[in-house]
Amino acid sequence: MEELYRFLVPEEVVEGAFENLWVQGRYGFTGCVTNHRVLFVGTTRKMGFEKERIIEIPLDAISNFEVKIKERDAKLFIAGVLLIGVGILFSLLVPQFAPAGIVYAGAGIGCIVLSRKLKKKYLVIEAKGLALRIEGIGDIAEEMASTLRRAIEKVRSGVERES
Amino acid sequence: MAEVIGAVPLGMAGLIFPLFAWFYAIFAKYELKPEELKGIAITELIAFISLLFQASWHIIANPFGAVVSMLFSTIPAMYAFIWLLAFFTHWFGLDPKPLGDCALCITISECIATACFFVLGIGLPWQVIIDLIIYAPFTTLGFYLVNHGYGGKAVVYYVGVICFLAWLATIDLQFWGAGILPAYTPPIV
Repeated sequence: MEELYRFLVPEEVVEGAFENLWVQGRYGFTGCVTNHRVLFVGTTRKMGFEKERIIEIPLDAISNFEVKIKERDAKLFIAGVLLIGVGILFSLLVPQFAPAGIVYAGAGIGCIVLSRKLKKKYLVIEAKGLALRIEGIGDIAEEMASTLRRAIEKVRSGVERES
Repeated sequence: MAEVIGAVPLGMAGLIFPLFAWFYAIFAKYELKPEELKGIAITELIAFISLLFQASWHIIANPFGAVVSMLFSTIPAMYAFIWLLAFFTHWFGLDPKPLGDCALCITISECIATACFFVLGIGLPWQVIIDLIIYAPFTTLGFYLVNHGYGGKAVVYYVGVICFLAWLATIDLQFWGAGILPAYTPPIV
């Protein structure tokens, strides 16, 4: 992906590139951080029609950015409760089911534990009075934040040196 | 029993493809470029077709009588439709979150369907129940996690391992569970 962005913006230094991003909840974006800007390129679909979207944020326009964490996955929590319910209910109804019921209840407890332990990370970039929410797979949001921090520090140190 | 669940080997013949494809894709560290995803999507379409055929056969032939035949139909049908959704998601590069949500949704339905074998007193061998437990909740939960942005190393490794176990479970259902070879575990009731 980095090579692709080097062709797309050959005059800039690509600090990092990322794939499979959700930008403001819309999937299908790739993104890159260069020494000048943050760039997101993606295809969105509306009523079946594809549309290419480019979102560009100059680094000097970014007022703030931070990684936010979603603490609990409600869907996984509900699934865990339901699994425990199914396991216990059917074990009471049919005693032969008990071994499988214990496995279901165990998986349900695992779901509840995971719903608190697995944390979804989002990167929120604030620029021009707006906030852009970026979500990636795994720790992409954190990686993107550290790349962005590095790029902004480089720009600022360059400006200081010039002055 | 072999006569009753005669369409199971055909359904399982298609299901082994996407499970092994995903296991291999994860452990061979595929980059999952659109072309690779399209290849895997075709295996998901194969699973959809074979599982739908299995589900339809159980409804049309009605080998067990209405209630039990419906149970033998509803389980492969739910998996068939989730593979159809997976096919479209991976072929067109759509947002995978609805696929993850549906995987979580069928987890509960599949667990109830498995429990129904006990309620109805169907004398299936325990190995079939173990195979079904590998599919749901464990494989379906993995699909929820990996399609919902929890793509950390541990989650991806878990999905790879569970796809391999589900592939083994499918082979077990294809030959031993379907009655082609004699079952090696006692019946549940």
